[in-house]
Amino acid sequence: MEQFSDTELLELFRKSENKNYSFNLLVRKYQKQIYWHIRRIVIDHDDANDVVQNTFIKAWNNLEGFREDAQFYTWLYRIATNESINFLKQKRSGFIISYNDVESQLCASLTDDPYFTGDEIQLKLQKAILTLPEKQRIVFNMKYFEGIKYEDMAIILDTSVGALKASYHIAVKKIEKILTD
Amino acid sequence: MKKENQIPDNFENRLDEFAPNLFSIKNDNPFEVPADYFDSLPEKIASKIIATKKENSFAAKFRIIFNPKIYIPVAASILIVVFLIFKSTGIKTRSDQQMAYTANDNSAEYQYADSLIENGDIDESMLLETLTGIDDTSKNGNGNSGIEKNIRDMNKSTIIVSDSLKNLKVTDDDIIQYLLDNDDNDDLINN
Repeated sequence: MEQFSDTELLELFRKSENKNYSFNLLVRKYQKQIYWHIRRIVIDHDDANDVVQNTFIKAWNNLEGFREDAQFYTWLYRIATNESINFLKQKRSGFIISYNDVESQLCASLTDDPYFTGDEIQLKLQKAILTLPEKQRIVFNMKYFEGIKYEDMAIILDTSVGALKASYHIAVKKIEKILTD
Repeated sequence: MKKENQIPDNFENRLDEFAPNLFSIKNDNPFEVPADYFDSLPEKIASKIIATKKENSFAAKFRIIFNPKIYIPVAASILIVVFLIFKSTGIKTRSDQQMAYTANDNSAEYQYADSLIENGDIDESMLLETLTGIDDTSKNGNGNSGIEKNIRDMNKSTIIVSDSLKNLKVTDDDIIQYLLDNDDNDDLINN
């Protein structure tokens, strides 16, 4: 499949007769990246499936207004992150007893998840990540698993590079402590 | 600031030094997806976009019509306009209509009454005496009151009173006032 740059795809999108075709290409280009980013936040595949679709629908609805001040992929990542956070917020609002019940539930679901094929140590790592505060968890995933640059992360999460570095450093220390115990 | 809280330079690439246990776990992806998931995902998204468009066009129309921010002010405006129209057109009640009748000197009935008086069909002085209850037994010597005499005299007259006059609810004060206002009649003076 011919690879178009984001600029070319966006130009194609702006010609109304090519809207669907160009958007389809954008989806195919970014679907895996966006899906895994979401999956690491919400853990469950069915939930990730819902959130990824909502992300691309939101992108479709707002693409006309995308001004290209930032790169397209950081814009898309931002939508995906916000959709994931909102999803967890909604889930949290359904729990009356404890604020942390969502993370506990995600932890428990990992054990029985047919789409989790990691070994024991991988399971331990995922559970350790789930003990982190939500934003710290997202920072850790984006740096450790996805290798995203701090500068891009700053745009996606609307946080300074310094704060992100500090957040990642603290997350690594916490996880290391859990893995050592 | 304590040294241990300082972030080491380039620590992200020195995890073997700062987090050996974490470093020993390969950052392979432990999650999976159903078979062919990514092959079908673009079509699922496209279908959902089409479905959302249809939903939005209906919902948008519905929201416009039933948006409280719109229909409450509109309903209030309509009520105010109706109230103002009601007030300004002066839709009268029955008693208002009756009062309007009595206050309107140009009504057909009053004009007819005027013509009867002018033609001498109605004796203004007799009418006035009757309405004011003047008791003048000395006039006829029969022991009949002046009122009864006047009524008998009136009954003898060939006055044709229209139905609308019969139904006219005119007060005594109205008639007295009318007569007083039109007291340039020579008959009245002569009697």
